[in-house]
Amino acid sequence: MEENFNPELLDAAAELSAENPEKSYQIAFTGNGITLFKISIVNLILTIVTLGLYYPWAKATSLSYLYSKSTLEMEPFAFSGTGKEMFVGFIRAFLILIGIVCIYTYISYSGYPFPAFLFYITALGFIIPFAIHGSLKYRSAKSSWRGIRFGYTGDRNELLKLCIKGFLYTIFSFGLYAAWFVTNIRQYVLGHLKMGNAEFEFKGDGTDYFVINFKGYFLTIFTLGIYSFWWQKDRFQFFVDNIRLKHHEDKVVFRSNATGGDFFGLIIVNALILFFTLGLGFPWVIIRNLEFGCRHIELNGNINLDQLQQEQGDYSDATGADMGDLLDFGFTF
Amino acid sequence: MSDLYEALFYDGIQSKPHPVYINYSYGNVRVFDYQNNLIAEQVLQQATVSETAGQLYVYLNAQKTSFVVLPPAHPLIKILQAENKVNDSSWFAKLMRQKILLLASIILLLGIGLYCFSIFVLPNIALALITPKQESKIGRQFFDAYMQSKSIDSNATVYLQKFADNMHLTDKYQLHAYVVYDTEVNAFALPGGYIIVNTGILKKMKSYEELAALLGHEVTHINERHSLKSMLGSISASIFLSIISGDASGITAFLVNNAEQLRQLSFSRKLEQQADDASIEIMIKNDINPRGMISLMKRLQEEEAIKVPELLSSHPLTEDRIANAKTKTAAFVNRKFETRKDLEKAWVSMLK
Repeated sequence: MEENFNPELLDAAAELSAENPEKSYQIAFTGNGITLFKISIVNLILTIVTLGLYYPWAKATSLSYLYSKSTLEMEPFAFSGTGKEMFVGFIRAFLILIGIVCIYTYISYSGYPFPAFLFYITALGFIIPFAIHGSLKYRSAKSSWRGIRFGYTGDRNELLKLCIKGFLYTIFSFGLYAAWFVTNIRQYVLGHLKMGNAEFEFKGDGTDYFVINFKGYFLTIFTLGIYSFWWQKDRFQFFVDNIRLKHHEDKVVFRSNATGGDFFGLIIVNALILFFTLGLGFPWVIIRNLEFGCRHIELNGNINLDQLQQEQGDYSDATGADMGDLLDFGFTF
Repeated sequence: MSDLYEALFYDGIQSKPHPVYINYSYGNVRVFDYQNNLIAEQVLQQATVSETAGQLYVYLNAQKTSFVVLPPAHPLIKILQAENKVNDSSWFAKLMRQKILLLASIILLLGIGLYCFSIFVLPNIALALITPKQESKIGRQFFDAYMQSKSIDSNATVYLQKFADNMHLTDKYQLHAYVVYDTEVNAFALPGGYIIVNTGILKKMKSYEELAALLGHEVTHINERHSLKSMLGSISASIFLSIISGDASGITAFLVNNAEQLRQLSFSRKLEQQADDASIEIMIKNDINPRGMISLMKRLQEEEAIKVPELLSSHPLTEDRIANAKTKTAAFVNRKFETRKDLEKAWVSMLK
């Protein structure tokens, strides 16, 4: 797939205006396993003692730590979400889900299992985009760099339409459409993600993603799984290389330099850590993943990061974010 | 007024930092521009302090958009960090100040506590909440799951049911007795009134008294809710393991698929003896010679000599149980019991 990306990258480089000189931006992650391990243990103790109620606070502390150790141009990101906000969201999300399960059970026990099933699927179909939307709004509004907030300006109904369309097409194409579905969602989400007055953009095309997965799937089978690391590398590259950050006429281009071998090392060592520590080494795995991401993403462009303006407002409703947690779909951006 | 130090300030309006002077006195952080105008201030206790790559970040508002950065080795860093730590009285901060070893021990203790709770306390709470009617439903589900891989000897089942109905076995549950094609010398009870007797054990028995002893034993497990208790114990244990390993789907899998494991549940020696004793009483009430229990035990012991069947492996110390049965039935050694024609008839028909 690399041949497909290079011309585009060259185009992107050519698009850079001459006003600001082109430069590389440094991103790094400097967290350490021991500290995250300690935070996780303390969080676990408090979560057990409070019978799970501490969970939102636990999440806030570990996110704060991870953000504070992620840097762009040597300056850390900051996470300002609080346990209290997430707790309120958690309760709301929990009540909504309980409500749905109760209605489902009631209809089902009244002797209408099929309508009950339809209701359940429809409700989840509405809730997942709602959760993605809420998560993005909350997480981005609570993320900042040099005091400049991120922000998500997408529309919930638009996202819902995209999801319904994608869902139906995927079903009727026996799963083939999934590559376009994922790409469209990413395009929409990143296309509405902002960092102050700078805008993100995702230029990926569903066809490219389909080819990556098609090739990856069959080669993984033919090579008895060995190719999966290179498939992983291709997917990572697809997601990273298509991201742009635009600020007026200027832009920053994202580029992955991770190789299949790098992914092989990351995944195998992670698995060994988890295996030999009986899962206790989980914090080190998180640290390694974040380090890996920062080490293998290059940012080049001409945006003057001193010129970002605060443009995105605060947003403190964590219901969607917590719903995402409860449904446990790992949606990250 | 105490000293002013140079620092960088981000105002939350634009990303460009401003060079400022910072002052810390009486718990307050104050930020001044180069013209000595106060541009921001906050009580240290309300600020968030964090360190990245040697630089100290003092966030002045809750949104973390307005903050001061002190470069590495700045004279204020140690002071601010120390005061911020002391003032943070949250449980999180208190625990974070402890050694990892202590924290690990707390986790271990909590884990053991949680384990004990889920094994000893939780099952009893659930036991009190489940009504016999619900118990029958649960039993039915396990029965259906178990039967998917087994077939019923329908002729023998009709007479076994008749046999069980003619004995006064239980008031609490509706009893369903089944004979299942299986050469294994075994019989077991499911919660809520289900008794399953293998053709294997049926063929070993020589008299209807032995069958009565077996049914009396199994029905006691049902009446005393032994199976339900054991089942709840296993479920609690698997829930505990699921929580520990973070795999919630394990619970569902357990409920749906593990009827087979239920069959292999072992009861404690105490519960087994309780079932034996109750069975003897049931037999006496039914005018059946309780020494049928002893011959049933001996029958099983013979089988044990060939191989250790599961019924025995979960019924430890058959020798002791025989001794116990002998003691409990000693008073009836010389008593004459009339043959129960109805039971004998069902028993004979069962073997046809």
